[in-house]
Amino acid sequence: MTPAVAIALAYTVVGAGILIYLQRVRRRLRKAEADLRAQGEPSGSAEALTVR
Amino acid sequence: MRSLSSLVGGAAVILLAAGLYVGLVASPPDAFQGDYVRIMYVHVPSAFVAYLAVGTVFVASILYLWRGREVYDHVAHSAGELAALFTALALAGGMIWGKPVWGTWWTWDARLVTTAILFLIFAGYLLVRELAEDRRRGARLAAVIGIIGALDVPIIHYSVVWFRTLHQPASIVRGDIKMAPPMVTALMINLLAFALLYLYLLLQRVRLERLEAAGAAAGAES
Repeated sequence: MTPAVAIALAYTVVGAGILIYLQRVRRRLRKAEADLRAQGEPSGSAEALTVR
Repeated sequence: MRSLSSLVGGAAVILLAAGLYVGLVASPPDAFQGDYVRIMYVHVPSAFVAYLAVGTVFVASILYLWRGREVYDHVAHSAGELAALFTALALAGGMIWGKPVWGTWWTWDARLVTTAILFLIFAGYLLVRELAEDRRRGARLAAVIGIIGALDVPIIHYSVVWFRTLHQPASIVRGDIKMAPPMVTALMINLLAFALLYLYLLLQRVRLERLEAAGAAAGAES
């Protein structure tokens, strides 16, 4: 494996791992916000929510 | 919390871009490893963030078992997910570096094995939460696993001292730096960038946890 291939592979794997995870969290965030709005909760930021 | 999250996220993006530049362009090749050393600038920060995440799980789990407040469980759960992710990324980066430099993707070296065990512990940690029928019971069991699992971190760290390993020992020990200054700069920028990225991901993930808990509570009431 040449240095260029190894470097490209390592940076791609790490970058893709982080981006896929971030995308998944953001999609779930949008869904959770939409669900809360649908349930009639105040559609503000998370600070408006009470932690049990 | 949202503005703090945006600020941390923005700072992380700027530092990650700077880290990419110094890691891929500005820093010199190593005398022995050549350009393969550039993989270290993502491998070491990934392992560092995995340690940070495990440390967060450890502290938040103790606080959850002690105080019983849901917020500590939200932090522990979020950090546990990030611990599994970044341990996997550290292992993957290390394997890609190991193939050309050591001549193998994997070897049963103490550092590699203890890191793989850390990944399995946190995969199990997430599985316990997922499979628990009673959410609070699952959270308490996961907290115990998180506390015990965190004890693997000092074993990983000192494995290169306690055992005869193929993995090199730490290059920076209490002010004694065995690296060229441009490489230290590149590593430090990437460590800081990944630490900020970790904080950003943790803030996002904790927010998600709080929203989902609020949604579940609202759903149960209605």
